[in-house]
Amino acid sequence: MSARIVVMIVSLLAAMRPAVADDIPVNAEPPPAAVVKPLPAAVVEPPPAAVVEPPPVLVTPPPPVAAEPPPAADPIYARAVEATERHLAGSVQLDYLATRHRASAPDQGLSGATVELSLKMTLDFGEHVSSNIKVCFACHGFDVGMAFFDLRVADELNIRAGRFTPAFGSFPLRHDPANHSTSDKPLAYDMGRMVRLREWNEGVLPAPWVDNGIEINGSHFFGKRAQLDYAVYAINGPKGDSDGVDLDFKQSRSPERYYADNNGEPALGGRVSATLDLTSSSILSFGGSVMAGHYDPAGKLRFSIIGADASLQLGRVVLRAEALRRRTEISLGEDPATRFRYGPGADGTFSRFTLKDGFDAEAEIRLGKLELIGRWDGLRRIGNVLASSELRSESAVLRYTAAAAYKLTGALRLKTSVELYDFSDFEDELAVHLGIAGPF
Amino acid sequence: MPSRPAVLLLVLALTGCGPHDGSRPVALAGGAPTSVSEACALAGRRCSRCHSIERVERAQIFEPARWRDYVHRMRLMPSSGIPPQEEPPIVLCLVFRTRGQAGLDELASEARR
Repeated sequence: MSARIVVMIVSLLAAMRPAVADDIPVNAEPPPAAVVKPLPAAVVEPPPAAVVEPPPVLVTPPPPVAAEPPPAADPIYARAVEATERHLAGSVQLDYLATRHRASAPDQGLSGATVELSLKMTLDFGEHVSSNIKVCFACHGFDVGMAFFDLRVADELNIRAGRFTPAFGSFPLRHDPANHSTSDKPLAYDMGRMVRLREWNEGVLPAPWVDNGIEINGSHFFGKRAQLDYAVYAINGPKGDSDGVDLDFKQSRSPERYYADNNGEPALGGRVSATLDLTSSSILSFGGSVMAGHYDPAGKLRFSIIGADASLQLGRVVLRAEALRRRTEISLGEDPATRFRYGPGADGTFSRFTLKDGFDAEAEIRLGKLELIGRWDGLRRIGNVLASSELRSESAVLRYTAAAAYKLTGALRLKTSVELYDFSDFEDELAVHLGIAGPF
Repeated sequence: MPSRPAVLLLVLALTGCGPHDGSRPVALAGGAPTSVSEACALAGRRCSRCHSIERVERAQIFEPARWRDYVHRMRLMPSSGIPPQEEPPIVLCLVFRTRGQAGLDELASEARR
């Protein structure tokens, strides 16, 4: 872990407000409003314990903290402090993945217990400027998931600059484990939890895809019932080797390869989506996304991803569907006949492209504290493979998931799911998840 | 013969469709005005579209102006489904929840400035 990340985590933890009791019942009544004293107008960012009297039932007394020095007398500093508000939020998921063939093939997936943690701090500088910083910890260690400024000129024009997840698809909006009910992600967005992840090299676009760049986005509302969102962005883009045959997702989060563009040429993308409020309890959303660029250091190997998604909420039922397709140019090398498993096509040449697509369709029903989810998703890869690969020129996996999430107390949810993997190239696999997740 | 996933989707749809979306209002102390209760029902519906309502209830925000900024930022999240007209009532709910009538008075005085 780099010293920079340690400093960031320490800063985040130092900014945390007093802990909230973990046992707030779902329908807990908040404290009478009179219990919370108003903040003195002149002191905006004092140590929380000194100003806000915690409600007796909901908030545990904050631990004693060292008194912060009083704000400097500098009026510019004082105005800056007054104009900002830090807000810390986060989530944790502990998930245990059990696979049937764990003993005979231990490297086929990241089975066992994994933790996904996110700590996010938001600073609002009034109506037009805000910034977000988010630190994540998961299988790959610590990473910075967000570090950006939003400069909002109008509802229809926001400029985001820094490190962020570019607008692509629907699932990344709710990728946080506390914001979705299943234990893992759809296969098209898999980031290492699928069985046979190494043979498949994860999904089409692992989520959350985090990158450095700039994004212009906005929303326009048509009356009370329709919303149109758009986003266009330029980011460093996925990376790969000069002799690559696929994207190398490890390079995008490896300090050894630097968090910088490997070819000095940004990848471009965009998204358009619409949301229609059909009735008070029915909402329809649909959208389309694109991303394209080069992924090798020389900037010669192209990739392009397109995606389409739709969701429909009908009362307690939410139906979602999403599909992604990535076309990736591969390096044939000097001797493709020995490098690849399959020979040239009918025209005598080796194809320079592979296709990887994925889909998911899921239904979620909300029954009070219990949520039931049925999901059907899959991945397919078409194109030549390295001679050493266990995949074929056309390989596929389908997965059937039955999942449940139960609110134990407050926002803490017990999540469980049973997944049946139907591989075209490997023995089928049964996987079981059991975990706990919640925001704080 | 329909596939298993199709049957599952059909069963879920038939058992769950209805006028209620399964959300609950933002929790309030007793004695809240009707307008605030209605605003909190709206907040519950809109906010739970993307995340659990507990996420809102646990937010460590106390100042009315900060709630206004927060809700504004959330409204402009893609596919939020929160039109501009619904921003004030959602702010009303959250300010009343944390600060009561004093918070609403503060919000109103800021608006007059």
